[in-house]
Amino acid sequence: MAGITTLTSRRHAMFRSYRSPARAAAIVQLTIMIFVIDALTPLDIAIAVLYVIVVLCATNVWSRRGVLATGIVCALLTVVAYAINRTPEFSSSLARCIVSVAAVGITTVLALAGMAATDSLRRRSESLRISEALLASTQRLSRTSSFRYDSALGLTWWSDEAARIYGVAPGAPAPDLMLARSHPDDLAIVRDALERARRGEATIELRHRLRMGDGEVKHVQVICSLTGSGSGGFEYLGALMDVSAAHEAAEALHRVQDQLAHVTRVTTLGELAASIAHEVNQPLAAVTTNGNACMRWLNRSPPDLQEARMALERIVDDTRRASEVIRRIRALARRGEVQMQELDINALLDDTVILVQRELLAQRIVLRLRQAPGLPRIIGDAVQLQQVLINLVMNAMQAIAGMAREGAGARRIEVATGLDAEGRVQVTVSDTGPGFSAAQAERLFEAFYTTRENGMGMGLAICRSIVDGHGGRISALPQQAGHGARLAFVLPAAEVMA
Amino acid sequence: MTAIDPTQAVVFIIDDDAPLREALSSLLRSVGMQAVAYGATPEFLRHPLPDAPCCLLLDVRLQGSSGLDFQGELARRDIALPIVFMTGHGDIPMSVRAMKAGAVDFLPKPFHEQDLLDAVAAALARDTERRAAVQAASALGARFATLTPREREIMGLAASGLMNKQIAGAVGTSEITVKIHRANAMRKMQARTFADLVRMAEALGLDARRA
Repeated sequence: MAGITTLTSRRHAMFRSYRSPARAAAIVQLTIMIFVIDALTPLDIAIAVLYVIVVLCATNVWSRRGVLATGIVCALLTVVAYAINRTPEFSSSLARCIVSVAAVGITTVLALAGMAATDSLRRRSESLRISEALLASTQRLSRTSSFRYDSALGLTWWSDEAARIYGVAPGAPAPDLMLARSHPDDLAIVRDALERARRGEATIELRHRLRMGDGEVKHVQVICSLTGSGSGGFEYLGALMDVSAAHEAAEALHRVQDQLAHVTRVTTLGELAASIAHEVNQPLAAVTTNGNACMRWLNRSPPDLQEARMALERIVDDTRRASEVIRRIRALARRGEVQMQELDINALLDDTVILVQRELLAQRIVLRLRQAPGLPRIIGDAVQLQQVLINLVMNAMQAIAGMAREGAGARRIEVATGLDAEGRVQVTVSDTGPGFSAAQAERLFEAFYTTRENGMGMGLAICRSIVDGHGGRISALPQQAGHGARLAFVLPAAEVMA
Repeated sequence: MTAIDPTQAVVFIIDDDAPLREALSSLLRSVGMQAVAYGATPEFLRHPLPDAPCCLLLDVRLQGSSGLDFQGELARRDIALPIVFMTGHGDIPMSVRAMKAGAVDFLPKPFHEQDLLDAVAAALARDTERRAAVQAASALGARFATLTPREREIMGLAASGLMNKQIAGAVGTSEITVKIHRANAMRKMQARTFADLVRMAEALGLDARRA
């Protein structure tokens, strides 16, 4: 394709050089020479026929109008020469003149027709060249390329952009480059696609990675469709798109979301710091106290071994309890890859409640759990789902905390687990706070939307992105009269997902 | 909790964390103290206090009510019990509030056993002192109760600094009679000197003008 482009432009250059004044002067000289010979020499031949050469040369120098003018001038010169050179033998010189004029005329007409054809061809090749250039730049811009693949011969043709994506010099592709450049981990995907091409499937779509010579990894998307069957194989025309940038952007977005989730998780842990400190200090205090007591029991005379043993047993229990609390907190503060695994929502809820229990006590809020037994397991990341639970409970807590402390029964949060109508696992968190208006409910899950004075407005937005990421849905349930907010999320059961 | 020896000092523990309660009572018992542990404040209030020096080891964060609130409640109920606070995350404002309200000490968890034992000992000492003061006051009251109305009147007037003659004039009797009543009051109140009697009148809050 590049070859054609350069050829066309070279021809253009040739035209320009022929149109030079030197060429025009040469033609004029030739014309004068022919006219002089024709008019002044008594040769008995039709010299004027040579004007044909003048006309033909003119096609390469002047435009069609110029060539027409040349033809007319040549015909006129022939007639003038005849007038000058007229002999008594009227008939033969007249005949020569007529033949010459006819030859010049016919040549002119033919030359004009030829020029018209050349012009239209040139225009067409020009527009083809433009559209090719346009296609190439479009391909380059969109990082999309085209190729032809034959299931028997391999890659038979590709666009320059395809070569650029594959990181090789433009030109004919190596037939087996598709496999050679594929990322080792994605070889199976490519092999499968090639196998499908061998079977002649109508459309083949795949997404895989390429590994460049320098180790760079590119993500490409390929779509090809069957165009016919050639020499023993199926022929496909395909589009190859470099989606690395989009892929990286999506990855970056994911990373940022993960980081944000982590930050809010840590922030939440910060808000819970007092409770957590208590939760950790309690067993530690018990350990030290038991240790001291044990020592004193042993130092008595006689030593009270029974009491000392009991104190030691309590130390072992307390240590286990402390490490359990620390494990839970560390799990929540950890910042790592999302680990999807089968989970029991009720166990997860129990684990979570421990972290907020203290805070609830401090706020004099009663937390009631209504856990449906025998729920199907779900697939998810324990840390992220715990974050959702903590967020919802903390929100409920803050809603209630803002209310006057009257009537112990009025300060209540209920977390219920169960199945929804579609067999999904549902968790509902309801509180006895002021609730929210319909208008607030609509915007609740938007980022930076908050009804609290010092709220960041990220909590529920993150909850939604986490639940969405688990293939579930989070929503505000319609409020019942006299009750506060009710938020619920559903997660698909593991069996359904598999 | 079984069988409190009413003659011995008792340390009450209120903490909603059962393992810590057990550890604390074990430590206190190991040094020969009597310890009674409760998980919540209402439980503590249901049991009458023994007639012996007592103190309270109280967790700041409690189920149902905070330890600081409970300190106020005890004060309202007129239960004078020295309190040693324990906290998992003691902050300064909290400890200031507790100490201002009369707490003996404020121990952050986990605590040094010696700090705890010292605090408990100090609290028990304070209670012993308080009990002695109360007892002294009540003994005085009992002796005062044996006085006749006239003797009480004359004791009050005498303690306020009046001469026998002035008293006689004030109550409308002879100086001799005043002297006899005054001697009876001194004997019944077991005052060895007149200065003793004045101190006793002060302790009893006798007001000469009212009497």
